[in-house]
Amino acid sequence: MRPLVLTLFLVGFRTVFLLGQDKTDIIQQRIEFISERYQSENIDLTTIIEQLNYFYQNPINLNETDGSELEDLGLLTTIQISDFLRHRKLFGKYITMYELQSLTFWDLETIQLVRPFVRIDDKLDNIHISFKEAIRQGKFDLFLRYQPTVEKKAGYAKVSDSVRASSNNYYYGNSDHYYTRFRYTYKTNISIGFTGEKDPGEQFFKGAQKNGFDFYSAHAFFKGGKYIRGVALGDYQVQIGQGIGFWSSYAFGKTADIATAKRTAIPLKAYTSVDENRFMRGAAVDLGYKNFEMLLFASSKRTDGSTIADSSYADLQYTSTLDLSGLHRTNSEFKRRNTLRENIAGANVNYRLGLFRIGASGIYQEYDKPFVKAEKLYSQFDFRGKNQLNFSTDYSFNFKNVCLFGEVAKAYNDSLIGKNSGWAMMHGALISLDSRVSFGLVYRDYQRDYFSFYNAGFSEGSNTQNERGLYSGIKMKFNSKWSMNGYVDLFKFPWMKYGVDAPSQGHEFLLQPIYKPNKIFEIYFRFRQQLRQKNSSNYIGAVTPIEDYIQRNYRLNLSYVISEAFTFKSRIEFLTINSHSKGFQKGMIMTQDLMWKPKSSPLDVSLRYALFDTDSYDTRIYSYENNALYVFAVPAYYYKGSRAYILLRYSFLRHCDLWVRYGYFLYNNRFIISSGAEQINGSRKSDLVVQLRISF
Amino acid sequence: MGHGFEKKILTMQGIMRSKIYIGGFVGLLVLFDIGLLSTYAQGWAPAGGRSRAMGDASVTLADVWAYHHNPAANAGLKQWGAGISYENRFLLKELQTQSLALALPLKKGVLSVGAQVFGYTEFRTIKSGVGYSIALTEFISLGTQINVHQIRLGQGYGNVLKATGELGVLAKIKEGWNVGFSVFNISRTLLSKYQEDRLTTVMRLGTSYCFSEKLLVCVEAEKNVEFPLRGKVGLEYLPAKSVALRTGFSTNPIELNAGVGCSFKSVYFLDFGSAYTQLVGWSPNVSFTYRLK
Repeated sequence: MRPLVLTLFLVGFRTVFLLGQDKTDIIQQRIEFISERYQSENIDLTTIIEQLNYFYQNPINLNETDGSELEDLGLLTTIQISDFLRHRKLFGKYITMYELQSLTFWDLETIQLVRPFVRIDDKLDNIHISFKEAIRQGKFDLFLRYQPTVEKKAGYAKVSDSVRASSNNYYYGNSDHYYTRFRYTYKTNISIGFTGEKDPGEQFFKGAQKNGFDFYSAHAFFKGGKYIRGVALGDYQVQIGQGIGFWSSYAFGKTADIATAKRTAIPLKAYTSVDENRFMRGAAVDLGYKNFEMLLFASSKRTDGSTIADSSYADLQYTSTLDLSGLHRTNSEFKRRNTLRENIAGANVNYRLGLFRIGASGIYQEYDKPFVKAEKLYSQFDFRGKNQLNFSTDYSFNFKNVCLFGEVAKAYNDSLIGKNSGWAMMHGALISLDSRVSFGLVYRDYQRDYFSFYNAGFSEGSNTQNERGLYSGIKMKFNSKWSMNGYVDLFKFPWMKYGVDAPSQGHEFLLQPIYKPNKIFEIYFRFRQQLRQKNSSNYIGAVTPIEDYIQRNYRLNLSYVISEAFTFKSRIEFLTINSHSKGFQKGMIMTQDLMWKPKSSPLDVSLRYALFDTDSYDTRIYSYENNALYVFAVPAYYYKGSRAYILLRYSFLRHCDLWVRYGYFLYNNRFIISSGAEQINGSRKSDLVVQLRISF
Repeated sequence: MGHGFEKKILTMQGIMRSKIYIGGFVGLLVLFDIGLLSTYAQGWAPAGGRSRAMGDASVTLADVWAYHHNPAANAGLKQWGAGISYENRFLLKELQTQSLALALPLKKGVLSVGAQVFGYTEFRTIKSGVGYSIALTEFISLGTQINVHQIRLGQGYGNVLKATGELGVLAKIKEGWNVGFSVFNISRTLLSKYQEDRLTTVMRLGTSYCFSEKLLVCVEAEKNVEFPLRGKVGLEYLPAKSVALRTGFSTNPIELNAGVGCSFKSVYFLDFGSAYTQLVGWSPNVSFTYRLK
């Protein structure tokens, strides 16, 4: 008897282990999608990862969910969800996981993808929460992170106080980055947390940062009542519709996976990241009655911006630009700090009937000082004045194998009535043409005089403004081994943009064949071409002409799980840029990753070695890197040289995890890296991360 | 006299206008570097609303319109069929095409007839010819065509009459999966000695795969001897038995396609499709096909 129990235990353990590995992969893929979308080095995606982590620990009960949790998971298309719900309605509760295979739009891969996050149970969950249980079953998490700057940067040079006081080139604080986070959670129902962060160069418990950290965030969040469905105090996130009108966090954009074209809004969420601007601070409540849901929220926070005193009235100040960097290291940055107060109040009403949903929202946003932006042609339709009102209505509707979704929004600005009150809209469809083929279509039209501060709508530009386009994508599975993803997007910018002195247009298309002969080996090739128009850098005369700027990416990616302990990943990426004035430029990287995660050892190791060679900064290539949990690194590789890092994770005392990561860039023929205060004299740039997590 | 004078002015205006048209036409070519225009001006163009809606990734499509896509692809037809189509490139009235295709299965093989007229009074090309295709085995069909091309330029430039030879292959890998290959103007017929001006030669290689009875996906590479390689993808989806929704995409230049088709009694087919390019806009095509089951 005993050996049997032991074997069962071992088998169970092994499955859990394997699934755990899949989970990290799924998360990594998602992060790569996002990073490619934003092409940025520092994005905070804590919430997305937390969500997957949570569902891993508390799988969704498939016999109970109304579909919204499956949407939160972000791994299923709405068509798959409606397929799933229809099946349950017709045939009753699910008995085993195998039943999922009979669903028309679920293939084996989807089931494998979702499996770690779902369970089948015919008992209903107990929604009632007792205080005792909340304490006993709740989870506490504490993170401490330390990231020093290894090389000496120019901004940290020892200079006299008078020099420092009269210059913007020297930082007041030390070069370390500190981060701490404490959070208590009970299922998805309760979350109470606190986060503190000090960026490199910022002071700690002195000078401008007398209270210690430069940035603090705290929240108390409850979810799950019958009528009061959610309450948030402190810092929180709001997502509405398709992200055209209001969406305070980040969202997926154009990725190789067409399903991400549709946004699934989670109206209210706790905020646990360290982006110093993209969140709401105040209070919010999400009320529900039968099929109706109403979100009310209010936020008031201080933000950074450049202000100019009005010459005629001494006490009147104008704002010229916002500063969203969140950095407060130098005199000029101190001067911009908290110069403005931003107040937001909004309401969102939703009506849901089965798989049909319609919503309407109104958002009022104001600043305590008026915006007086320089009158440049390209920015003449941007926000001006003190306040703005946005209205939007959004819908999503599932019918058989078709899912339709969209949003229409309108902005009113008080200072330029009639002039600055544009429209924005997007409409999309996701269609499962076959169980192996899905097709997506998104049309968007954002007028040049539509403006909203917090948005994450489907767009080529960075805002849902001044853009018209049609996107169409497809995902095909030919057989169990071969599949292909692709999309094409045609877009127009009806008005000028920064660096583009005329209305412009362009396209983007991607083709990605994938070969996955078994669970442990995958190889894919990706081709992407982007055409945009930009100002020519080489012209004669007073008018800057625009020219085509064609970028092509070629990527070959291979991942291979050699054994349960070893994973092997290789990538070669080649990039070319063609334009008339700058000619032909190219760049390439070659990376090799090796991950060692033996199941019996408390130690994991990840290694990377990479060589890169790019003609210029323009031909830089972004590459996702493994890092300590909740640290996101997608650095740009440019110029010529090598990159290597080692990441160790060590679990000890049952409740503790320690991450240590050291990496460096070693450049060829380059003795000065970066410029200004960030300048390093030498050819090496290193980074070090030490992070401790205590959870119980 | 006054009447005659007026007439003269009108004629002059007409000439000037057509010159402007020709100027505009050349301008388009130079400005946008669009190969398509001149490709079509040289005697070859895909035809039919179905093909157009699927990005012209039509080298494997086995219908009456195969006459204009792949001489071998109609070898499998069991009953006779005919179709007419009308197309307007970029909605310019000078760039209109009318096409005709007819297929007549014989005891052995299929005899086909096709014609195509492109242009306007000052520039017109007419292609007409006959073809023959035969299924050698269940898995492979061959086809060939001979077409006569007449190119007519206005204002006294005159006429030219030339013939081209076409060749095609359609191979079945398995049920629902085909590969096709075709060459237009395999003979590389010389149009004029001046600057070695030849009728264009086009090679197409493509495949189509039926995911189910409802969904057909086509992928194709097309090389015109004068222009860069084009990649094309087409999709046909039948939400109901008599309705077809189609879409497509092609590169060099980037083009999006879409269209709908409907059939009546599975005998009459009405298909509409259009291409869209960012610089010059829409190119709709409508066709009517009759085909016995």
